[in-house]
Amino acid sequence: MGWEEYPWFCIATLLFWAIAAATAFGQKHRKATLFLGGLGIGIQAFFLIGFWIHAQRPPLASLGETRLWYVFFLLLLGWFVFYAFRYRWIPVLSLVLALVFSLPNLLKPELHTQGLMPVLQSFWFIPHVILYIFAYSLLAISFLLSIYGLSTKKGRCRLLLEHIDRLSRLGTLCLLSGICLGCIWAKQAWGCFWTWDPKETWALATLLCYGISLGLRHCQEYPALQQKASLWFQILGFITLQICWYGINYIPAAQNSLHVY
Amino acid sequence: MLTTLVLSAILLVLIVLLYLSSRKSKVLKLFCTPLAVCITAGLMLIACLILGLISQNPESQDLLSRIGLRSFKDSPWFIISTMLFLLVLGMFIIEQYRLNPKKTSPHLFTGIWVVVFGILMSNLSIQRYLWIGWKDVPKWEATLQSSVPQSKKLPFAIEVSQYRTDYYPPVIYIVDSKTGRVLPLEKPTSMPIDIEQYKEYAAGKGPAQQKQIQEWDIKLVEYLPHAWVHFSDGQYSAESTQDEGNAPAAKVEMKSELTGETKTTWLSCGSALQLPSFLRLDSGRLIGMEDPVPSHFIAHLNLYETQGDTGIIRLDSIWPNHPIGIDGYDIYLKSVKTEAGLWNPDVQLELVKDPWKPVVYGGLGLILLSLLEMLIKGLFCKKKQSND
Repeated sequence: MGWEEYPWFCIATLLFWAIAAATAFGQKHRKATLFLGGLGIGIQAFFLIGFWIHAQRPPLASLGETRLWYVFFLLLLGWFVFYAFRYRWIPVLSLVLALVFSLPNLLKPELHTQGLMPVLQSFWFIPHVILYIFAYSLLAISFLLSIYGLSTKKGRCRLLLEHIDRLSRLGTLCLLSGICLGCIWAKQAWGCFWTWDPKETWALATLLCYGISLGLRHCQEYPALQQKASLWFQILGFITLQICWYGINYIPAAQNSLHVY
Repeated sequence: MLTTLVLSAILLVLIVLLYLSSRKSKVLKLFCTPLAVCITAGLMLIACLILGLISQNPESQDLLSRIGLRSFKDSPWFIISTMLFLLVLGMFIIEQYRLNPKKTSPHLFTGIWVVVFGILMSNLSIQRYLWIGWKDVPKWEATLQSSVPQSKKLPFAIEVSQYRTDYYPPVIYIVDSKTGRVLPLEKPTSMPIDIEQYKEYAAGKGPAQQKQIQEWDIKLVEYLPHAWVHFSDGQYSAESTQDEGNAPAAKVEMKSELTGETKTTWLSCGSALQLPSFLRLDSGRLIGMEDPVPSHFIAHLNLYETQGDTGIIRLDSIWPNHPIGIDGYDIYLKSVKTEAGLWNPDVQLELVKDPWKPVVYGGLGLILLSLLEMLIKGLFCKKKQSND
């Protein structure tokens, strides 16, 4: 199972999610939403496992392959947030984000068949990338909630802020673990923990944005900082995260990066 | 090393002194709050954005270079913002240990502090040496990579007894002869040679590997992993050889679905010593073989050390992500020069001496352990809550 079969799996996943997202707005279709959404996630997971077996390596080597995991985690977390917190609009927003990140793989396929380069053949490769992509997905959901929180005054209720806190705290800790594993791997591969490579720099910028956002939540004496500014840093964090993930491919300053692929 | 030790002592003393003074001063007390940490983290964020958006090239002569933004890592602003962050975070950590000694978060912040500080000191004191040698020739010197490279005698000698690079199977593709882009543009397709299938085909036990790219049906009829391709009488021929500069070669038969035309040729990616072989299909397209992609490289080393009047030999191997340590040095295999094709005339190693390595590893360990503790505590609390 490889890229040639991908369009069928992708369309099936998105189709099930489109129906699931539509049923989420109905009062009596909660179980149908969960079932159809779960089915879509299952199809994406089946493709990832099949790809892994077919390629005889983890499908994490190219930008296109990381997008597969991102879509998978995004849908999984969208499903979980709908299940746990009952936000009806979460399935549709997860679907829109999943669609946006699936489209490049569908419309502009690359030669994805290359094997793993020697430096990527490391024990740290899978946990490092999976933690990052999982963090990206968590922070995407927290970004959606932050936009909602900023757009309506009613949205900045205590419960919503708590949900944003939980998601972004877990996302930030995953990001931090990913960076730590990356440091250990960089030392083993190149002899240096940190080289201020553009990817590393943007990863640190992302971590700092989310760190500041979470830190501001503890500033009880300044309610404006604790609520609004904290949410704005969530938005800024999500923008820096996009630059860190694929945006650096388009920044002239990052053209010599070891991480541009 | 001494400079970094003095620097760390000064910083630690400063943190403790400022923290003790903060108990009496309202202004200094603000330094121990989350807001102060957020503000200094904000300064670090601005520094990161500058580093991420502006290419760091001190030799450039433009305006950005003149105001120091192209060598920002060495600028006082960057050093001040990092030191301020460490100072405030340090005071905040002590305050957190005083207020919440049983919580996990102070350990996590301590880990972050140690890592940031350790990496800063590591980058200041790290020494990198380049070792270039030939197979079976022991060498006691390496070149210290600094602004003025100097040759240094090592406390041991390195001899490369064997060096090997493995490659992924070659890939055949049709490319646009003007742009070099793989065709068809809307869905680039290639034909990676399946070595196992070829072996079965060569033994008469299976069919030949075939693939359709655009209108051409391509069939692999012969494959030589180490070959020399000759061009004479308007066509290619290949012979198997182990000589330096050999390259993989594949003989393909092609048939056009549109015209029924057939072609047979040898394709090779070539190497530093032989030109690539390809076939022009028409004015805009050609079929060829991609440059080999290394899958693995390994160097077997003999390390000679003196112990009094005698010497000892240690045999070891290095490959990517697998350095070896000796006398405080870590030895790394530098990336293979793929532009030299399958022919690698010399071996390059990098020796790294990093006295702050254990400190950074300690900090990273503390962060990961704190995260693990948080996860376990979170799960345990959830379980307890659900039981209640």
